[in-house]
Amino acid sequence: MQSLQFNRKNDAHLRALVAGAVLVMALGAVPAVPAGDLSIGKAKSERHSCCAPGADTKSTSVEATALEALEIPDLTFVRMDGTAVSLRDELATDKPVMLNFIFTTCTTICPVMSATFEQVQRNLGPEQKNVRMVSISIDPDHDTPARLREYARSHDAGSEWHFLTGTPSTVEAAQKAFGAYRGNKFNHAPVTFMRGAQDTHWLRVAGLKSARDLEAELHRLTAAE
Amino acid sequence: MTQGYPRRPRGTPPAIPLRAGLFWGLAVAAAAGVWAQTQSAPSRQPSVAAGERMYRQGVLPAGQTATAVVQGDVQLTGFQAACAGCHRRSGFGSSESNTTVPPVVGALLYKPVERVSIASAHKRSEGAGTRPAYTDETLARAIRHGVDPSGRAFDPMMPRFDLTDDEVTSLIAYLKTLSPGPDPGVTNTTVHLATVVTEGVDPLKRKAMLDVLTTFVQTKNALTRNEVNRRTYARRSGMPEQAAYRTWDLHLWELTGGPGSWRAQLEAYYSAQPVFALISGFAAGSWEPIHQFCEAASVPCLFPNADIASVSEGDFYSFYFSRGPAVEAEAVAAWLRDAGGARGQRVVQVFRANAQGQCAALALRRAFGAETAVVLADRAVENGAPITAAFWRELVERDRPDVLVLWLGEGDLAALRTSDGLFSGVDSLVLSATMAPDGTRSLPTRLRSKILLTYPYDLPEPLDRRLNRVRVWLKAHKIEITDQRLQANTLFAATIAGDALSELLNTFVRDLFVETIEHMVDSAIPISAYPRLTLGPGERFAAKGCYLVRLAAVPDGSVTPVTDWIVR
Repeated sequence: MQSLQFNRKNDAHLRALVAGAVLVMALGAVPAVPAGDLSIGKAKSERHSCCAPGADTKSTSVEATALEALEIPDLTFVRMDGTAVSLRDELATDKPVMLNFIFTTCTTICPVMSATFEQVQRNLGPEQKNVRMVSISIDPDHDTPARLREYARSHDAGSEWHFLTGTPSTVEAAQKAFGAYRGNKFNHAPVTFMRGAQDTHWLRVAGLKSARDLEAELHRLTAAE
Repeated sequence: MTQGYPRRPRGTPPAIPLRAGLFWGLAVAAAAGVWAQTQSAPSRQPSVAAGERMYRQGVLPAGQTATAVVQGDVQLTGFQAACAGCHRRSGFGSSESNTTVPPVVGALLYKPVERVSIASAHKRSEGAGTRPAYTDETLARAIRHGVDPSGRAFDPMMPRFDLTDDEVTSLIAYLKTLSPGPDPGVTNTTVHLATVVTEGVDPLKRKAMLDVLTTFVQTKNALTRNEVNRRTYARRSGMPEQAAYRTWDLHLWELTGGPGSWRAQLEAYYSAQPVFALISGFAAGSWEPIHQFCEAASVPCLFPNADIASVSEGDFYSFYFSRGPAVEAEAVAAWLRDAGGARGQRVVQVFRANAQGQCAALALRRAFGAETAVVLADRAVENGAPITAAFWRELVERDRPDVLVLWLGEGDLAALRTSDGLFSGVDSLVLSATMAPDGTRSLPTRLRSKILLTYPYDLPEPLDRRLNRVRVWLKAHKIEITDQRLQANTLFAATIAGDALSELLNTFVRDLFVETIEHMVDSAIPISAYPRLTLGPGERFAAKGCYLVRLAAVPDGSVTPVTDWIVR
């Protein structure tokens, strides 16, 4: 009897599913996307609302998941100063990186995420120039470099906080590379990606966090080096 | 979710709908809250106006910026701290993926939130997802300390606001006035809508647009009998989706005379029968007077067929497809820069002193700003002065242009036919597909190869494929296809209006209608003339780009893009 570790994306495995085949399933502790992020089709009662804490009360611990080898695609974006830049070059810095996906007209999630990045910069003070922050727009048709400059100004962004825009296809590809693509921009979920200075591995921090939480994670990443 | 197409009429003819006994008052609902004079200094009297400023802008009554803390330790100031940022102008909140910002309109805050299970008809007033009704005291506590009326803490994403007693009292006074609904133009049975057509519109285009609109409305209303019955039962059993059904009454607001007289005519129409919103529409000349009316009367206006559209800071109610000549000019500027040959080039733009010409010329000049790499000269032509071969000869001799940008209508291009020899030293002639849609047809081949068009629509071939479903709808309803782009755009406007109205259920609030459209356009079925439409909170132009295209050697209507969809 042949036994294999079933992978639904493997055609050979699918062909092996004949009548009479036995599937043995076991719950394992493997790094996976946290259940809290699989929100497509989530029941209404599980909706996270700011005024009905109950079971939705946020714990203070940060749900940080290590991502398996993430391939940064070779995509060209435009910085808010209008210059073209390759995403790989943008992230090929020897500083630690904090990255998120935003759009400037967002009304629910991005105002909090951007204010938190702003607070982290403020807390870092002069140290902020040692941390690269990257915010990529998921509404490239509206978020032109000029609009990103205005958004950056309204969040008092320092020089190491970069804002990028592109085309709908490059922005989609970038989100997919990070496993953050959810179709329609209004369906986006709060998530921050972080990488230590010398690291090639990214950390996925799901949900809205306090500035302290993000700084603690940053500290953990840099201390580990 | 969008419903997509209106449903085909059912087999049975509609019965005469039951008439409600009384109409609702059409006056705007008076506020339940306290209305007070605005004071120059904070005082005991709550000020609704001050509350509105706090809510929308995050500015305190004495003029300082508001401050708040979110996520436990993140400072917010001013606009970031404005309630409207998340709870929206309507006060009905928002949601993105599984994050919900709940409504804060007074009518809902001062009622309890209970969980209803339809299966068991059991109402639950305690536990997750419920809360008792707010009082003035508990609401003030909620805003400052982030707890609900039963004392449970809010999620950290709700800011805790640093406000004095007077400030929070004014804010609460405002919340009590927020979106009481229903807005004018809606009765127990009917939602009144209008479309505007002005004098001077080409009769063929007018018919093309009105055929689509009136057929759409007739089709939508053809389901009257069943929906009205369901509404009657729904009002007894409390099923909101079915209680929301309204018949559409589409009014044709025809405007005569010059644009200076339109505002008064619009006000007269509105006075006679207020409408909830305007759908589509067509103006000969500038749409601006109608835009101003809509802002003043707070009437949403959905995607009129406007040649030029501009939206000022603070405008809220009108949605447009494209900015028109401005985005065409910005595409020309982008192309000139990217083409690389712009450095040192002499660019001459020719335009008439009409709205479109001036809009385009000004936009091109602005797009270059202080740049000196391109030498840009304006040649304005007085209204009434003919453009002759002599005009072109003189221009070419005097200005020696490398690139000629012609913001001109078809009639003004006639002399090009006989002047084609003059342009041997000119690299490119740029024309506008919106200002001269057929202007290039009879131009000599020698000129055709130099011509580029600003083309703010989808390209002909992908457009034809995408609009197949529009042609199917038109044919099924026996509407002659005389202007595919116009008819598709009109059908898009009507469809999104219907989908957004359905989403409102029984909350006939115009601000919420506008916010719903902001969220729906991205996923609407793409039946417009544009390659893509996107909107977001505060965005008012859904088609944000323009192509530059080259003409085919033979005038067969085909074009080849030389740029991507340039977005500005």
